[in-house]
Amino acid sequence: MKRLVSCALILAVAAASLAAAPAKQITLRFSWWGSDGRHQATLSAIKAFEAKNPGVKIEAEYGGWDGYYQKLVTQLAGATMPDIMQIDQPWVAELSNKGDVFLTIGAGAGIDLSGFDASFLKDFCSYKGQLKGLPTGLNGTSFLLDKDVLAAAGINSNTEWTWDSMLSEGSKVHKKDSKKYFLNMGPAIMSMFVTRYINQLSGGVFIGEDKKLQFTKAQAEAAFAYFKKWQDQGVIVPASSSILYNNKEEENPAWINGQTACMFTWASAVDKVRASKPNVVIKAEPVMPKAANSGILVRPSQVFAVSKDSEHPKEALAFLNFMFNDPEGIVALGSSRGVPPTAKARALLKEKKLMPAEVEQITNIALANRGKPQTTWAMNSEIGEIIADVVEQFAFDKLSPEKAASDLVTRLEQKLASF
Amino acid sequence: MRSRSRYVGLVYILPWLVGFLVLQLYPLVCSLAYSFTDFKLLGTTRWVGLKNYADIFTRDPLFWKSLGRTTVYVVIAVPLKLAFALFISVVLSGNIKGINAFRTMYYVPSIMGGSIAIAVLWRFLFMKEGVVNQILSLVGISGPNWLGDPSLALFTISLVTVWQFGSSMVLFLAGLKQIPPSLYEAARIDGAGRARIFLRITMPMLSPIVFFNLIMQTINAFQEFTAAFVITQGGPLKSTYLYGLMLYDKGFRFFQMGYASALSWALFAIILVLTLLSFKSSESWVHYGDAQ
Repeated sequence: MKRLVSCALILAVAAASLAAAPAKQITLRFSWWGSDGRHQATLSAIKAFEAKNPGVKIEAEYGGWDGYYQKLVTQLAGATMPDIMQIDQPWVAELSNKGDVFLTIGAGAGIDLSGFDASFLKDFCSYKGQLKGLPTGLNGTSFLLDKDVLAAAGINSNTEWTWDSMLSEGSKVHKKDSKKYFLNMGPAIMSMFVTRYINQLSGGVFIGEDKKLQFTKAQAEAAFAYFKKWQDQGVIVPASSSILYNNKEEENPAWINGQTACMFTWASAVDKVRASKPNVVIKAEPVMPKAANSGILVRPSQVFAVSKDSEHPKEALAFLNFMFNDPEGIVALGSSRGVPPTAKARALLKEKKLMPAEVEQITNIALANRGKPQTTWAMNSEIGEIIADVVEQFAFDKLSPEKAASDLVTRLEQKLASF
Repeated sequence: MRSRSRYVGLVYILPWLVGFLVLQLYPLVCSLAYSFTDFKLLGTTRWVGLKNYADIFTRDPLFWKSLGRTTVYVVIAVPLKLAFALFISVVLSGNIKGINAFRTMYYVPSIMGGSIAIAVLWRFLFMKEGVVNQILSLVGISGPNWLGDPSLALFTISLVTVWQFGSSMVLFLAGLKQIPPSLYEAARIDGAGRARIFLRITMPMLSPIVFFNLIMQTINAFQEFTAAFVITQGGPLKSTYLYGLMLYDKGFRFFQMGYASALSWALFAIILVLTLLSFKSSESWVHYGDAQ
């Protein structure tokens, strides 16, 4: 009997506390990944929005990049996804392909879209003609070069980098000191340069929307023959030592300690790449003269999307509008996601001197050389895995240029036929 | 009264029971069901019968590749780990001053062992210009590229996981303590040397524990994931692409959940067969004290 009474008491207390919960407060969940600077900026934007909209509370769910996609897809599968999601640009198509998960942002959505570049919204944030998200910023790529290492090898730091000068000048670093190399680049980034070289040769976009390759085996072979020279002439760090820092080249002690001269970076990552490098110069990546497609990407840093099943789409869109169009939101976010996507925000940050020079410089260089946007198939993760695998075998000298080219074409065609 | 006490027992194990049903049995049954579908987390799911299993064994070169790498890993890592655990436990079973402190110290790696932070540290130790090679260079040896050389990386990963020998060690220690001292005394009186005592008395008396550890460590080794994932990401050239990594890639990078479920059941079957074979073989080498 005593037990029964205590059980009843516990239940009563629980019920009372539930009933006492405040009513009418709207809560939105918002998830993103990033580093600490981005977290702080985003949290302060949330605070500013909540101050202006007392009825809305935004729950922040943030962390690092590792595992973010896995978590998000699991949440989408279990219908427990946040209302507002930061997603990577390729996921717009990849996820929409699997199911209708994102809210379409229509004309009357309450967001002022006038400041955005229309082609950017169409090329990168839409799926089957419907706008599924908004770009968080402009992100481009360029080379970052260590002036001290260049000087030690007798290379002019104002050198403009072409595919030829990377061989003729770049090889000087290793010739001068056998422990040093010009390029700090693992097989994963190298595979990006292989596709870029092929795109510049062919003028195509690697794989068309029709799932057909837009290059020939001969073009792929020419590309691999060129990159063989990078290895033979000591332009690039050997794969056996770069592999441990594959896709995180900035962590390689050879870069930090000045044993390598040059690495590739996205504008959004320039902070961490140059963290230990005071003396750097930013330069454009090589483009063949008269290439119909430079292959150089300028794409959204990320995309903000709203869940189709959000219970409060109106408020979620209002929050997006606040971050993109309200001066308070713009200033709070600053350049935490690269150069802002709207002209208005760019002007405001410039006026308030909130735009780091490097981020702007990289984005401008990339914009000047901007190539054709990638297709869904060229961005597909299984396609990327095949390219990376072939290039890694090539980088470890297991495949000749001819064999690498024929493997690449055969395996890609096989995979594309299976989709 | 009798039936009531039965319910009381149930209530006591309720926390475990709920955990088991919800967090283990339910996912287990689900994954078995998924393995017969093309479940992709999102979108529609279709029943595909045995197609996933047929594809695994007939059309997936990566399955054979990673199963091969995993087998090599098991063959290197398990005996190394058991030998090391046995060696340390024999040393620790003696009467040394402060023995309990040593026992605790040797168990610490097993508590920290599988974490990401430790795996990152291993990468620093074993990279080409890492601490291990710097120490080797002090004695004039030019160390190899432990993790960057495709023919060496798997061996390095195996070495690294030997570090977590604590749980086997504890069991060996307990087993050693169980061996009656009278056996050793009798052997010594008969003039047996140390090596002979170890081989003729310690090993046979310890064989049930060796057998248990062998089974448990083999099962664990087939499922190894963290070290290879964090230190080498399966590279270079897929030389450390263990089964667990392939399973993760299929399930959580390419979201072929149905196929990944089938892969995990295939692994279960492989481990089951190996375990049964070990049990069969144990009849000839495991001695249980009472049976003669």
